[in-house]
Amino acid sequence: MSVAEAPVLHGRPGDLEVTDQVLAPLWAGSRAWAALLGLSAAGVGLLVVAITYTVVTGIGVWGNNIPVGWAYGIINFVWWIGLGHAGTFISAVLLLLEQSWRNSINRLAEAMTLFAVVNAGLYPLLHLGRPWFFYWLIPYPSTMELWPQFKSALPWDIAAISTYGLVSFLFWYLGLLPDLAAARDRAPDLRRARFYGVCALGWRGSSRDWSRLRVGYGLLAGLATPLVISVHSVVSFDFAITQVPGWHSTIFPPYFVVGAIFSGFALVLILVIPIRRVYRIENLITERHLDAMGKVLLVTGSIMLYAYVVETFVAWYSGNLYERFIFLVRRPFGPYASAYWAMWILNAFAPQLLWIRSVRRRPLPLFLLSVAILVGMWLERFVLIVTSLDRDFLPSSWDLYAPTWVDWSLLAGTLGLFSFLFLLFLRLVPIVPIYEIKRLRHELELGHAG
Amino acid sequence: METTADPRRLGLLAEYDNPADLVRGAASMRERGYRRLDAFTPYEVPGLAETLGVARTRLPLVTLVAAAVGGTLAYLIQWWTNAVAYPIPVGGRPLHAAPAFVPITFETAILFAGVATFLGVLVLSRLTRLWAPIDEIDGFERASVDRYWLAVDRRDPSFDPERTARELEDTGPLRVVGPPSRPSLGIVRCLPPLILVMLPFLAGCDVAGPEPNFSLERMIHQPRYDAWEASAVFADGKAMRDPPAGSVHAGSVLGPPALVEGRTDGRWVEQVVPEVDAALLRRGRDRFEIYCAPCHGIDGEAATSVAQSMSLRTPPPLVDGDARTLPPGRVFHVATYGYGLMPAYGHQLSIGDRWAVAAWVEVLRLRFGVPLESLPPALYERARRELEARDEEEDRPALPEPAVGRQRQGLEREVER
Repeated sequence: MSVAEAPVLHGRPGDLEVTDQVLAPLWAGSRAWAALLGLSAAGVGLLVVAITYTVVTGIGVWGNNIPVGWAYGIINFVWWIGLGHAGTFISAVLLLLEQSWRNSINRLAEAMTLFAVVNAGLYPLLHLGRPWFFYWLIPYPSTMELWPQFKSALPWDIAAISTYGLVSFLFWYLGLLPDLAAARDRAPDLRRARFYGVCALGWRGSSRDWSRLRVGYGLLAGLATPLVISVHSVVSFDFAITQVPGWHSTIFPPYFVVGAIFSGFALVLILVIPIRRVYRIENLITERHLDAMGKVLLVTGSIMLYAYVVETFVAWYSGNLYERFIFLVRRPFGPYASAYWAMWILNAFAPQLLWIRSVRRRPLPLFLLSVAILVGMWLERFVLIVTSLDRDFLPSSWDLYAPTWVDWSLLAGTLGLFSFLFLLFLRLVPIVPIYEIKRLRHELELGHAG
Repeated sequence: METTADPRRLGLLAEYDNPADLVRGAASMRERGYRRLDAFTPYEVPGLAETLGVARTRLPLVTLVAAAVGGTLAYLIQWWTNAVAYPIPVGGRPLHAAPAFVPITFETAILFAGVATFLGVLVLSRLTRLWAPIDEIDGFERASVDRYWLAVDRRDPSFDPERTARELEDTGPLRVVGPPSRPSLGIVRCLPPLILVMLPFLAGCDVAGPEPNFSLERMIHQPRYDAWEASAVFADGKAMRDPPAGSVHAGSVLGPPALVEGRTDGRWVEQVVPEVDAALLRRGRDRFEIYCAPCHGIDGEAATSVAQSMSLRTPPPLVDGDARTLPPGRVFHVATYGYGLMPAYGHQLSIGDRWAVAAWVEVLRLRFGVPLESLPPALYERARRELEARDEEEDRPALPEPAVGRQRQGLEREVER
């Protein structure tokens, strides 16, 4: 059986069967889940400690210095926001392209987006130094009669990230309503029926509501598609509109967007591979899904390879002394050379293994490759930010950078927060869109979709 | 707009166990002339909306208008704040910079459109109504799981309780049911939670004083002391407090003041404190050319393009003018803490490096402006001979060299030595 013909749905489970299969984890927890939640709660505790220490003492407790004023704060911000992009890409772009395989994984991927955006947003907020004044970034008629400078990329960031977070949430929630209603109607006790009843906002599934939901969902998908491309483009403007060597490049917006989708799909795979096994939903998230996501990784990974080559070539071709120094001397042979070469191996070369069909279809290699890509993408942002800032135009402003324990705790802490939120999501929300599976089954029976 | 969840409109309902029967039933009711039909299904059954004659939703219009309003508003705010209300001129760039306003205009258009679309679905579908009479029908909750319901509106012209029930039975449903008899929730039942929600707002009332205080400037006019202000609170009449005797600045290096501050008893140290040897001078030259030369020049004459651009306050030449007479202790101190627009280098250069730089500045100053008579006797004769030879050479007619070129030659000679 070739992979292209592998089914997106195994068997023809009945409506009630699918509903109860997907809702089962909502009604009964497991010891493993509680243990994992405890572990991630420890990570959240670490995050709280690191944030408290940072806010009370000041961001001097980070490893940031002058010239490396942007370090872990921005590295982790760009990394997390990029991870979120696959969720929107799967739910919006693939919806518009009518890829029916997306239906099983879109909710999971969108939840991942939301939690990644929450984590991403934390970093710039803390990097402000006085996070309680964050509202100064928003134009409002203040008694100081001051307004933000909109010609800077940083207010663009605020607009892009907050829009992205909110619209992603609305998009996710709108698609969730019918399943929350199903949870309300299948809840084993009144307490949970009330909880899901409030969350479902009184969804009853009238045919008018369904057609409005379809149109509204499609409109949000249409809005989210240019949005997801614009968000990482705006993030890349933070770098591209400066003159710092290694940053001042027109390739940045497409290169960032592709890198974001690349890392995001890797994270989706890291989440999906264990979940489909633990929750026994291999009939809903099939080999076909893994294969399709593997192909996305291969395409985006190849574009990364291209971007790295072009970036280096342009640095040489520009004839600019500083660009040449950063790309041809500092990054490959400087003190951070190991991160640079690891970035090439993990991001550009390792995904080429996906040309092999068995790598794309088998969960374990795909999982390991995805972990490698996540590490590689983090290193890419490290290389991009640190090696450009620590050696800019004037030797008198040169300085090396090293993170402190607070930097590491914030990174570990956001990983903990992400797992914590994601575990809650697994326990509280149907992870697969039940109504989309039922509709898919109905269409398969009628022979509309393959 | 209308939905059969409304109690006044609830007529009869038929329950089916598969979508095909529902679509057939709906088509048959349509044929019999019913126009106010609705269905409740676990997912959107393809073709059902067309069979029921559901009108196209106006949602896209809502989205479009919201996007236009959001984008326009964002552009106007950016233009008005940045070009009119609070212009920040940067390097002569235009205040009204349309390309720079594009990202926020776009993002805000999406934000408005997204929120409006979501709210549009909620409002048009009357969502957030958590309870409706239809929910009282036993088994209706399966409509979200695996049952398919067809509803006929009571106000349909063709509606007749008995005939319609018979016609529904003919379509082959599991059963046909009428509306529940339970009355609707009165507004009275919503009041207690509403009052509870409002209670915390009482905290905003200012009831402590004899009269309410309506001064909205309270946030601006706050009683407080600024630095250097007089105060009646303390005996010495100052608002600022002195640190306790013997306090040390956090992170400060302790040591002999001459070595770590370049100063003893309020006087600048006149000599480089560490022992001056060739290694120290080499180090000083190296650090000087990295950290100081970008502004002060490799020769210390401050003839650099950086210095020329700093029109507000030009970095002074270190070998000429007022700065020539600064003692090494002062040079060390400025290198540590900065001066004027010059930043501090204390965190980038160690104490030894800063003294080495001060020593190298001394060397640079020896390049000219040194009276011949002040030289030690051993050097005096040699210097006089070389100067005479040079003067003879320069007597010949030659093109005048540019100033920078002369400096560079001097530097090269020095390097050879």
